Amino acid sequence: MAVAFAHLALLPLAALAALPVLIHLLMRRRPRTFDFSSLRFLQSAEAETRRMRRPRDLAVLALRTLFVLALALTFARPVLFTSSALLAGSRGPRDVVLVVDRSLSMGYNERGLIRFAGARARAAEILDSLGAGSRADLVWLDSACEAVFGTPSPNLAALKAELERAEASFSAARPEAALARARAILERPVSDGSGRAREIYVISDFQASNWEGVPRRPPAGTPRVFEVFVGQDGAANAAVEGIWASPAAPVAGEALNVSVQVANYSGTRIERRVTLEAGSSRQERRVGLDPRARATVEFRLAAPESSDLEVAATIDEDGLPADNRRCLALHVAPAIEVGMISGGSSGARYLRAALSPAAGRGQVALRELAADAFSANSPSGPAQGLIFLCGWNGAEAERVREWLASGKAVVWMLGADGPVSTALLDAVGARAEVGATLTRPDREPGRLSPALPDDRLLAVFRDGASGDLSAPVFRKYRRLAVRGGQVLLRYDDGQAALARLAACGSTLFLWNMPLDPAASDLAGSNVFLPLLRELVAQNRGPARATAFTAGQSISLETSLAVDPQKVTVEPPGDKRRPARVVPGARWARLESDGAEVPGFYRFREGQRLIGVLAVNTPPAESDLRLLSPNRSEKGGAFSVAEGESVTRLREGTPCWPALLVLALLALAGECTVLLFWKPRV
Amino acid sequence: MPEAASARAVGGPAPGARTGPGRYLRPEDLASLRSYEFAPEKLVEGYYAGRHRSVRRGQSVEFTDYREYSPGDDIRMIDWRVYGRTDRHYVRLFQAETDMVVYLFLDSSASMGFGAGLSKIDYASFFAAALAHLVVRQGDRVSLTTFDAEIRRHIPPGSTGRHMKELMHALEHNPAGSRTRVGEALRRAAPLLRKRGILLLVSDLLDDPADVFSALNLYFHRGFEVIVFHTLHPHEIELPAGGLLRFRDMEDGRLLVTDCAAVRSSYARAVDDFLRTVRALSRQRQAYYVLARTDTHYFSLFDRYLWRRGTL
Repeated sequence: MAVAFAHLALLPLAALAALPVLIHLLMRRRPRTFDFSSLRFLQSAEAETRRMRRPRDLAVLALRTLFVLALALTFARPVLFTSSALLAGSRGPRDVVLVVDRSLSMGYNERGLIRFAGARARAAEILDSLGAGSRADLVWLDSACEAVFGTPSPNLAALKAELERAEASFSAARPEAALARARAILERPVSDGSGRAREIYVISDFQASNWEGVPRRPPAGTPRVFEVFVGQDGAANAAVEGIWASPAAPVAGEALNVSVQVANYSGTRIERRVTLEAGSSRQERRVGLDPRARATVEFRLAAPESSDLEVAATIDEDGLPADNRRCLALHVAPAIEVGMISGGSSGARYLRAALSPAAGRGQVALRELAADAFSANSPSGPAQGLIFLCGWNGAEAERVREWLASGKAVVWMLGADGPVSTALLDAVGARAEVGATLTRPDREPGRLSPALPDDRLLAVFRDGASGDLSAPVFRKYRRLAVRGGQVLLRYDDGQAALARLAACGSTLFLWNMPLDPAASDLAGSNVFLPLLRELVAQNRGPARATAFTAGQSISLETSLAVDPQKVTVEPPGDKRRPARVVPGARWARLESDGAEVPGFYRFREGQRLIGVLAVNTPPAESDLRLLSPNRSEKGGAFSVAEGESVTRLREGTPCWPALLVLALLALAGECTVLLFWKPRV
Repeated sequence: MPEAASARAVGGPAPGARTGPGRYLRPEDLASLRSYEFAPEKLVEGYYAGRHRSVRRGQSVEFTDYREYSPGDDIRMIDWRVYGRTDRHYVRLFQAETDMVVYLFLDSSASMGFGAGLSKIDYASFFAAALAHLVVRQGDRVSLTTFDAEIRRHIPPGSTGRHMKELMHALEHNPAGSRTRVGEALRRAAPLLRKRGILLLVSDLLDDPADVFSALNLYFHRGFEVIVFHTLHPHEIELPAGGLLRFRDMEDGRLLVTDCAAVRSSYARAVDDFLRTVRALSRQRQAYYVLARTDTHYFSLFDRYLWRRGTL
């Protein structure tokens, strides 16, 4: 038995039930005062009378309240639904589209029942209730929003079979896309579709994280939408919400910090064991989480030899196990790849000499890029994550902007002499001005000072162990004024020596410290190598895009030569399947559709491992807080709460006549009591 | 208003008005009182020879007994005939006649002020004044004691015109006072009443009846004849038809809001129980009890009292 209200907005009228009491309180008469000899007998009489009259007064109050309440509820037009209504069928043929949520959150195990199983049952119930001649289609509410038929079909049995086979996915829900797809299906002209009722049933848990902001009132003229709620609010869930490594692109043997972010979406404090598995190593930490709080757990690893490192963080299992594990695929490079375009600069040889043997914690592989690097087939440009432009004349500024846009860091080393094109600065919108050469007298050379001593890049100079930044002397350098970035080092005359600018999502360094001995003795000073080492280590370029969300297509770029016929992808726990290869002159992109299961996807050519990608669950699906049902049919949307029958919406019994009779009976009862029930005092 | 109607029935003046020799003793009432005579039922104790039998034996015409002669007796009282028969000296004893003392106890508490037209204290004062006149007219003495929680004024017995004037003045300047404590007042007044006589209590008795009659025991034991004039306003016996009213206690100011129609029967039952209790206690102590409703003329009290005594 359930009740819904057709005019829910009028339901607050039920508060008028308090009116009799309020009227009694507000309209109490102020009786005239009567001086009396003694209240002695009056008090005893009053006590006795009150005892006798109270039942009558209470009865009058109850009947009066019942009258007002029944009358108010009559206006709200309640509809009573009974289980027998399920068998009543429909009143006529309809075109119906079921939008069934099968996103990750629908896999939540709610007291032994998976939400998606409940959704399937609801969908089957609706299909069963459709009358003869009705047609239906099914749109899955996930990241793909696919339809079973694409048009309303009378083959309801096929839809039921499809429902039986389906399982909850690991992908995110896209409510607006699914609703648009459902409307498009119903708006498609079909034969003999005139005069039919068109309805959309959205069967979902209505996760607030997905549905907030989605207009729930359908546009005018579009089919009616019924929201069928599956699941109850207040579900307890914890999830591994994020995992990342620092550095993100490690080199062999480098120490790694892995951070795991754990979120508690429940309203109670929980404690979880966080397990990190990286290759053959395994570490555990315990973490306590306050209600609706997040915590980050740190792990320390040593990067192995050059390979693809699979790192997975897991917490204890709960009602939604899919989000208790998050993967991170790290490509451990043998060395930091640094590119250099020398352009015949005299300072380039000092840079080459500094970078060639080693650069601190990781090996550095310096590759001198030829002029054709600007015309590489990949839009992301050279493979190196950090590129030094030394003696660069400023040509092809647009390509450099593209490299920046692809996440590579660029260090532009300004020469002390010669003309400089500022086209790159214009292209990336950097607010910096490069001017003429400044020559300092020998007796008063230019000296450096840190403008941002606390910057991470200059941290090694803070205690003096890596040399004194003011030691090198500069005789020539350029005028450089930077307004839209951070000046890290500055000359004593105020000119910027090293500046960092955010450009196209990456970093552009302006290096105004000539290495030529005629201009400075920086190349021979003991601060040069530490400064260069920190610059390379901290700006080694982006990690390979190896994190994807379930339901997306995945792709991997490789510079290895591959045979497209032999390339396969190995999903987690599944057989290999062929992968697409998009070839290029120096790059190949390996692609695969339908990474539906979270885990590691290994691309292979035969048995040779080419690369590993991590696919994870969408974080928004872990927050299981739900929207509240919209209990009004006004505007075309009507919600059916958990536990209510969907088809009762139209087969329910209107209660207002009974309520009207009840109100009249209450009124009659009150009159009867007032007239005939005289307390015998 | 019922109060006004009762005032007309009594024939009393408007409150505050003065008529004739006193406010409470009007010439037409004096004329009507000529036909009444007030007499005690028990023996009285007086100083002066009068028309009432005394507890003392003395000289009168009514023989009572013989007693053997003892030295000091008046030899004129020896009955020589008895001596001739018995050869012993016996003296004849006669019932002495003396004057009567009437002690008027007038309740002047705040509750006696109830009554819009003719309050209970006005009614009681009319009655007391008439009674005092009656007593003095027949040569007896009358005393007046007004009280509320304590004795407010005590006028010793007297029978002169001046005494009567003082008594009238006391009645006219006797506003309703504070709380009713009849028993306490009676106890305090006991030492003031030296001679036994008639104790006439005029009160609404809105006190603990058991306590009141416990205090009256002092007087019963001393041989007083006690008459209780229980003065009540009709609205105290039957609530007014006023619907919802806020009642204010005239003695302590407490408030009670109630619907008269709803509590009328319960109230009447409670008052009836109270009256029954007072009557029963009066009967036990052999005190005269007269219910004095202020809507009846106080002359009717004389009629009822004297009729009961068989002197009318």
